[in-house]
Amino acid sequence: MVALVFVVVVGLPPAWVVAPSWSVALPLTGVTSGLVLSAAAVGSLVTRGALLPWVLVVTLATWLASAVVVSRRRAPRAGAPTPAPGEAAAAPGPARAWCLAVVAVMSAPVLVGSLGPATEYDERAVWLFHARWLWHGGAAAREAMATAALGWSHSDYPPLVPATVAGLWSVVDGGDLQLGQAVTSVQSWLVVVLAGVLVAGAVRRRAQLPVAVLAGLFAVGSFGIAGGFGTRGYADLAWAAMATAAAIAGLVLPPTPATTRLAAVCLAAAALTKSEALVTVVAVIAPLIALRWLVVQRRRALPGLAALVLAVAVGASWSVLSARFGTQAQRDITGDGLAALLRGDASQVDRVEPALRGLWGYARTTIVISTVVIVAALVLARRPRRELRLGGGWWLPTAAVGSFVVALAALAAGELDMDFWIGSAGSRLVIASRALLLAEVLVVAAVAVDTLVGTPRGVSPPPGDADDRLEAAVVDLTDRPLPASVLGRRD
Amino acid sequence: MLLLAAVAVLGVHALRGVLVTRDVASGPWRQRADVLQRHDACLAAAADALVAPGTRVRIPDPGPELDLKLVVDHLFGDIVVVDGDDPRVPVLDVRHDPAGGGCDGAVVELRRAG
Repeated sequence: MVALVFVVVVGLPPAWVVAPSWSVALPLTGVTSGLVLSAAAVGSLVTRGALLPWVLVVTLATWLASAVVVSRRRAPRAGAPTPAPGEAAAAPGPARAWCLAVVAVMSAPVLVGSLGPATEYDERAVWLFHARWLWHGGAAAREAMATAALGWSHSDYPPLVPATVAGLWSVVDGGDLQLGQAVTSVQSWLVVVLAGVLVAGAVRRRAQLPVAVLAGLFAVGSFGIAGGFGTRGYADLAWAAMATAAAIAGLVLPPTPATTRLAAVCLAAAALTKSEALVTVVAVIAPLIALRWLVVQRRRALPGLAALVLAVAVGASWSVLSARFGTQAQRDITGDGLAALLRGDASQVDRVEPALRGLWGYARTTIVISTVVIVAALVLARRPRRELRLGGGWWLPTAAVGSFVVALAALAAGELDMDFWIGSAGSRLVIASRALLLAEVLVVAAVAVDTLVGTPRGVSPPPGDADDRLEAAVVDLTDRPLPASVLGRRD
Repeated sequence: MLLLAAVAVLGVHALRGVLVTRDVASGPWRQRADVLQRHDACLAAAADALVAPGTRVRIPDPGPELDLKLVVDHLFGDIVVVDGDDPRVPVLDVRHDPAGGGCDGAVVELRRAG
């Protein structure tokens, strides 16, 4: 409870700036609190100062800036069109607050897993160890990062998860390992809930309750995909959920200023959570989102693309800072290994087949049964999806394949013993690709529910003006234009 | 039919989530964690008794072994881990005793030159 309150209190004001809706802003605090506290940790590192003052200053500054932004937001203009009777119930939009309640109540029991002792390997050797560095202040942390003898802890790993833990430690009960484990678990849970709520908000309001129930299944299932690591102090589910939320916002939901902000913030946070997340963001998810926005919006996509570039830059900034701090880290994957793989050197290419076999072993159930549903939806249910102005059914699976390829390349380019690596980390390497596939299945289910619930009499789908619907018609490379009968209809 | 199939996929994964949560909260994961917690506490007590605050130490590369990492984590802030091979700086290590001494066979030691 302490962990939840801390994350929500720190992250709510900036989350409200990103998404002024309780159903989205509350779970988004899992992302924004991490970003705020990462900034505080960087301040502490740069100045070699204590962490607590930076936590207070950065948090208060963020709250203040958020208050200014919210107060300056324009109220609806006088004379703006009001929804016709029944239209509100028919329009997609942010999920209602009780959707959040349904998803949260259904999935909260998974957090009981975080009540055990904090004893997992990476949890202690990497994440909570780094949190301890940061909690001891910038000088101690810089010294530890630059100590080669501590390089086994992957000193170059990004700061979001340990900074959140250290932030809480700096204000209450410093160094408590179980509290640290609880923070990471709550953070992962909130972002998983966020992904589910975003899908619930993609359908019309009268369909949102049943979709919220399905989103609850998705949230619990995400912790199943994480295989126990979701509540044991690991960062893998956190970044996978951030990447999935970003992908839903950028590849599924209609491109709007709100979804642009959401996608950018989640991408930046994912990239600041783990090294392979940065690669996945830069090489897979950000380019896919940019492509979709370019196709859908053309020149109007420029602000969104700028936001994406900024998000990637923020995510990549840690690598620059870390190098500047003289970080001495043992690296499982080196540039030489990757170059050898790309050159086709037998030493690395021979690792591809066992890596593929290992990853497939962990992901095959999700891949096979999700693919059946996704392909069936692509064949049978494209029109209802277009009517909701949602991105095509290929986007999330493409992101999933890309994420899988990144994991495969990492194993093949690396130098660790393959059996050891697959056995110790293989299941975690495919969390993101499995979560993306499961998210697409949730979208398919949500659209099917929306179709079943139907449109109220006298209301014409899709909502929005004709330009919006024309935009939705060319929504992505996989969608065909809407029929003229739909495009020609005016509300 | 499509909805049923999608719900089935979500349900299968949710069921897995429930089973995983049970394992973590009260099953094999929890039992292993409880054992490791006792082991961790034993190592911490041994390290506290052995290493005075402010001590500069070197450590060997622990490889995949976790025990030394737990000790260094516990002592972080009290000790200073340094690089190099200065023989005047003692080596903090965890030796594994086949006879089962120390903490289930893990013995925290501070080796000094000579």
